[in-house]
Amino acid sequence: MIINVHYTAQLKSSVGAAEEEIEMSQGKRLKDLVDDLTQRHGEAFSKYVLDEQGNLLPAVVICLNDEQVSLGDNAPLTEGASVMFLTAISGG
Amino acid sequence: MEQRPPLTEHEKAVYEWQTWVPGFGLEGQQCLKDATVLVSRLGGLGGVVAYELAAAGVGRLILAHAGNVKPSDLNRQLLMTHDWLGKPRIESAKRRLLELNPRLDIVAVPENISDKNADALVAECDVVVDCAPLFEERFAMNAASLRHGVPLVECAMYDMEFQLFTVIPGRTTCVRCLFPERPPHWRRQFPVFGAVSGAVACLGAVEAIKLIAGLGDTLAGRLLVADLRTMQFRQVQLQPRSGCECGAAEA
Ligand SMILES: [Zn+2]
Repeated sequence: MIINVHYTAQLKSSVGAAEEEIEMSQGKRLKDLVDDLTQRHGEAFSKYVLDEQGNLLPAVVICLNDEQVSLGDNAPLTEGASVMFLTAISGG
Repeated sequence: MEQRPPLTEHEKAVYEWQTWVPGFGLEGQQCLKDATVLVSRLGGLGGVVAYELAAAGVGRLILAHAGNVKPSDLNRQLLMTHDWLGKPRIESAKRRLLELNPRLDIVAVPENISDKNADALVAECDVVVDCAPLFEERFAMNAASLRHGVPLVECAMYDMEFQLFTVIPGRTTCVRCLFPERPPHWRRQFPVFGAVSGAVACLGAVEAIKLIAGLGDTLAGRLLVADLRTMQFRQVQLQPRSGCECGAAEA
C-alpha cells in the first residue's frame, strides 16, 4: 500500500522534501512507518522526531488523515493514508 | 467585557462597511469597542494583528514588546519605521496605531511576556493573541490564559509556513497539550518574509474578532497548517493531551 507522508518546517528542510510516497506492506502500523522513515532518512528525520531512547520528541505532532494521533496508539495504516509530521514553530 | 460608551456617529461612519457583515452589525461593533485584547510581541506577526484590530475598532489594546527598532526589523514589522531606528519599538508601534485610530486606548508595555508579568496583563483582557518568538513566552502566556479563562489565539510561522489555532481554556487543546516541553530545535532567528508573517497575522486578527463578536466558527480544537510556498492549506483535528495542566482531555 502507498502512504503519503508530509513534513513541515525544519523537518521538511532536513529531509529535503515536503512530501513523499512510501510503499509499505499491508497490515503495517504507524510505528512501522516511523521505523521505515528513520531507516530511509537517518538522522535527517530522527533528530527532529525521536529522542535518544527512540521515543517521540515532545516537539512533534503526528497527524493521520488530518487527525492528531499519538504514536503510542500505533494506529493501523491503510492504502492512501496521509501522515503528517508537524514540528513546533514559534516565529512571530 | 468592559461597558464602554455607545458607538458615536463618527464611529458608526468609520465602521459602516464592516457592520454590513452578516451576523456582525452594530452589535458586533459595540462588542469590539468594549473589548480589550492583549497582543504578545509586535513583530512581523503581532504588529499586523494589532494594526488590523486597531483598524477594526477594538477599544483597548494591551501591547507587550521589549527592545529598540533594528534595521533587520524593517522587512516585516510594519509598526516600526526607519526614523525610529534605535528607539523603543513599543513607542513606534503606539504612534503608528494612533495615526490609524486616534480613539484607541493603548496600554504599552515595554517588556516581553514572562511568568512575572503575564497574570497581571491577561487579567485585564478578553482575548489574547500570542505572536511571541520564544516558547518560554508562549508557555507563560498559555499558563496565564488558563488561570484566567481567557481565550488565546496562537499564531506561529517559520519560513513560508504557518500554524494557527485557538485555545478555549479547559475545553480545547492548549499550547502545552501540543508541546509539553520546550522544543529543543527551535531557534530565535528564523527565515521570514513580511508577507508571510502578515498573512497569518490577518488570520489571527480574524480569529480574535470572531471570538469577541461571537461570529462564525473559530479554530478552537483545530490547527490550520499552511505552506505558502505551495499554497497548500490543511486543517488538523487536535486531541487534548491527557494529564495536561489545562484539563481539556478530562473535561
Ligand atoms: Zn493542555
